[in-house]
Amino acid sequence: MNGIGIALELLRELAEICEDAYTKGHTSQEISEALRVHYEKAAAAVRSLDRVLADNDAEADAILKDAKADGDPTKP
Amino acid sequence: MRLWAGALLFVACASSADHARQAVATGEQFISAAVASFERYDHDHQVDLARKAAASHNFDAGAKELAEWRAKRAPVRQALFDAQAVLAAAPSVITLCEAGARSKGALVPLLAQVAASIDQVRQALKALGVDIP
Repeated sequence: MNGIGIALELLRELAEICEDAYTKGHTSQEISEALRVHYEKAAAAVRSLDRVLADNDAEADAILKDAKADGDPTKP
Repeated sequence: MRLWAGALLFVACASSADHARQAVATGEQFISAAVASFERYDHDHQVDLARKAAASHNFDAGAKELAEWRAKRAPVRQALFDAQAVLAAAPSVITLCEAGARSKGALVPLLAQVAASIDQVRQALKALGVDIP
């Protein structure tokens, strides 16, 4: 199953759970709070990963940029 | 399905919220280790590519290689996001099952999703040559 497939399955599952939970007396506030926590946690993890990858990109770019600025001593 | 995923499903079949939580915790540990490996590998690989290009003064080729690598790593980022989304949702689902708002049978498809998303991370890391924790 690809990423989109998993996401769709998850959404379907969550929709069913929300419907059941609402029918069985859980308030919409309780349900939306559970979903909010879920999405914030996943989004925070991805933001953290993206920050590290951006730092890695910047470091590699800086190495190339500095070397280019120093010039090529093998060429006139 | 991988051995790890099979073990997770076995645990899920016990239909116990405690066992499900244990399986999700194991999945979270795997993902944390996978993120750490991926971040470290990405750093070392990019620095290595940049240094080699700098040493040989192939600046344009180096920049191209870095851009290619950044495009190639995108599926890992997506797989990690999917897995983290599933794992983040899992405790809420388990709690609702425990509270009786959902049949405990829901634990089986939930943990199958956890297993599938973790397997996807494994495959994406393997395709890049990153050591799998």
